[in-house]
Amino acid sequence: MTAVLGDSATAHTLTGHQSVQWEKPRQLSMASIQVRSAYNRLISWFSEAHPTPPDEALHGLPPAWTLEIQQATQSLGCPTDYVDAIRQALTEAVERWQRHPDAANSLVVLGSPIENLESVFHACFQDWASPVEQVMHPISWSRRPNREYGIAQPIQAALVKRSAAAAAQEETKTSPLDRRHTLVVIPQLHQGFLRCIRGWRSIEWLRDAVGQSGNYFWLIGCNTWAWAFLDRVCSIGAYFNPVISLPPLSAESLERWLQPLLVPTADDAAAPVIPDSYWSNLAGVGISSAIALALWQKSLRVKAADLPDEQQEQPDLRPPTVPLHLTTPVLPNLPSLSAAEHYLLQSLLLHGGMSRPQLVDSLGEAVGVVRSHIHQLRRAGIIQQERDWLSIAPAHYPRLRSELSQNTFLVGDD
Amino acid sequence: MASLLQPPGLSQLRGPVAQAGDPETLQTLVDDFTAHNLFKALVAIAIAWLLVWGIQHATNWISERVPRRYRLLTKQSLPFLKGLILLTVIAYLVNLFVNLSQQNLLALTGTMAVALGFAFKDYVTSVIAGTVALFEAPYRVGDRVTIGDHYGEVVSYGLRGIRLQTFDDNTVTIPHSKTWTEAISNANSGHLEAQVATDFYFDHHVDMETVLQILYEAAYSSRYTQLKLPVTVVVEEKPWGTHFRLKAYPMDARDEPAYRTDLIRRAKQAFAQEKLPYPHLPVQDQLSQTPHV
Repeated sequence: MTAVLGDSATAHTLTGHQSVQWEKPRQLSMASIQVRSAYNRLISWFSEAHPTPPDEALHGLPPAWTLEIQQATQSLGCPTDYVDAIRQALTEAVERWQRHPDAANSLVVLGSPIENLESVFHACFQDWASPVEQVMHPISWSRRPNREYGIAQPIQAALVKRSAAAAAQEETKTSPLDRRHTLVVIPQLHQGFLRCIRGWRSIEWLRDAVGQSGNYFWLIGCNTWAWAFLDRVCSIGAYFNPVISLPPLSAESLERWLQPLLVPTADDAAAPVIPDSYWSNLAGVGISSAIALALWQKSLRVKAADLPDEQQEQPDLRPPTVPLHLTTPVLPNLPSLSAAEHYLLQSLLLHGGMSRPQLVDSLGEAVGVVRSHIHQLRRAGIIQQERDWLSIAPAHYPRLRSELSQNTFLVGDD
Repeated sequence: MASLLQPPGLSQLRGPVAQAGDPETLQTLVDDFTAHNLFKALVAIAIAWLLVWGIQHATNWISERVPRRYRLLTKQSLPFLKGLILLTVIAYLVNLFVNLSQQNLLALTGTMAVALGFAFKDYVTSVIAGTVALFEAPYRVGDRVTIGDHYGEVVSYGLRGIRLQTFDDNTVTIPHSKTWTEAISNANSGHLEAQVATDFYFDHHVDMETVLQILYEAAYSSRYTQLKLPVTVVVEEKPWGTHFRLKAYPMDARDEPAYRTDLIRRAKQAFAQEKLPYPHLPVQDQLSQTPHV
């Protein structure tokens, strides 16, 4: 489906530098999308790699352009559907908690392991008409909490500090409901544990602490894989209610979200818009914003004639304005993966990303063996590394999830 | 009345066996034993052999490449396919050479019964036991079974017997006839997971709660553990200490040795940090109390 799809119809400018040109797609019905989805699922049962046929007319973007597009996407924020869903659920839950003494004092938001829930939560609290007076972020998630103490120590320290300051003010309030005005935010619970002995005792502490601290409302974010695991090992699901998931993104949502990257040029102002099939196709293969964004970037192509000379292709040079072409987004194929690589990938998905020493701790495997697997998976593009942080490349997630599920791993219910 | 007291079938067998030795009857029993038919038989045997070889390799190849969930399902189809091919080729050969009238069939089975009774009794017993075992399924390809002193994975299901691959990478051939006489312990019975029991021993004064928590965490933290299946710990008192048995399932029964090693390694690291007391055998205590001469 990545083949060139016909005559060009319209042109758009990407962040003021390149224009995105839509290649007219084949008419894709919902039935054809479902057939393709079933075909992809069938193929994913077998882990043999199937090379994508080379595209003769269009080429991938030069690295400098790809880098610039990645930088442009970082300022995109998260889809409004996510923000709206969380805000609505949070407002309802907090108001219920403030009105009824026996109401639940927590809300759990689940997302796929490749979704950055911290940035989603951050977007929720911008310009939010909060029903609470204070929002606490007790943990900085710039790095994983200490293995021995987990998240218990920083949360305890933050609550003690806050209690000392607020105790005098609350003494005057007679009704317990009047003391309910503090929201504690833990956006990445999956970063708060490690799969090893004593690795999730701080989660058990949090589970008990939430039940005992009725004066705090807890907003907790967690990836679905970690939630399924924690539910097995410490029955965390029985203690938290309600639990919501990030909503699936529709074609309209994706178009609205990515629209800032697609600004029409002056000479093509009258040109037809990108057909809905592109967005419905993107929504069909991408279950979350991170996957959709990765597939959108992978669908960008440029004609050979528009490629810059090798001398011009330098990171510090701004690329010239040339039309970029959008091809049908497709999921990349997985190479054949060994059982040891399955275990490693499951560990990364369970924790939503981690450093090498933490991965070694989690797997209980020799450092050299883990390092060689990481090297192979990075070369295959399945693992990405930013500084010392390893995570799964979002575009590979759907097929990886399917493959691990077929190999009887406990996967998240995305 | 006298004829009724004779063993049943004896009078019937006497006739056909005698007829089988008769040259005139043999001419009618063996049908068209010509060079052309011989060639067709050889071709049929060659095709059957190629099919069996091809199916065996294809099944093994596919089963190692499909997702783990379908591995045993793929392997378990092998005995049926092999049996089907063998049955078909035998029927073809018999039809090619033997004139199967009712009388000839009796003669043939009678002759075969006598011949097999003396020469190939054990072999035929195993073949029949293998056919029965195909339906009763005390073991299937991919199962981990204990037969006699041998424990391992059933890697091949032949006409006469099965082959076990042991942990020491030995291949043990066991005839199907063992199913008549031996107890067969099957660890997974067609499932991918097989329960692994790992034993730990401590002093009577050990903190039970600490040990139980560490054992549960060791099982749940191991990458091999099938999290969809339960983890349990059973405790038993012995005269010399307390016996803890951790029961859990690896995702793949093949990982059993690696799984048990991983569990012991994880648990012992935590036991050492907690300084949990191991049991002292009475003989050790006696030796330590014996005054040095």
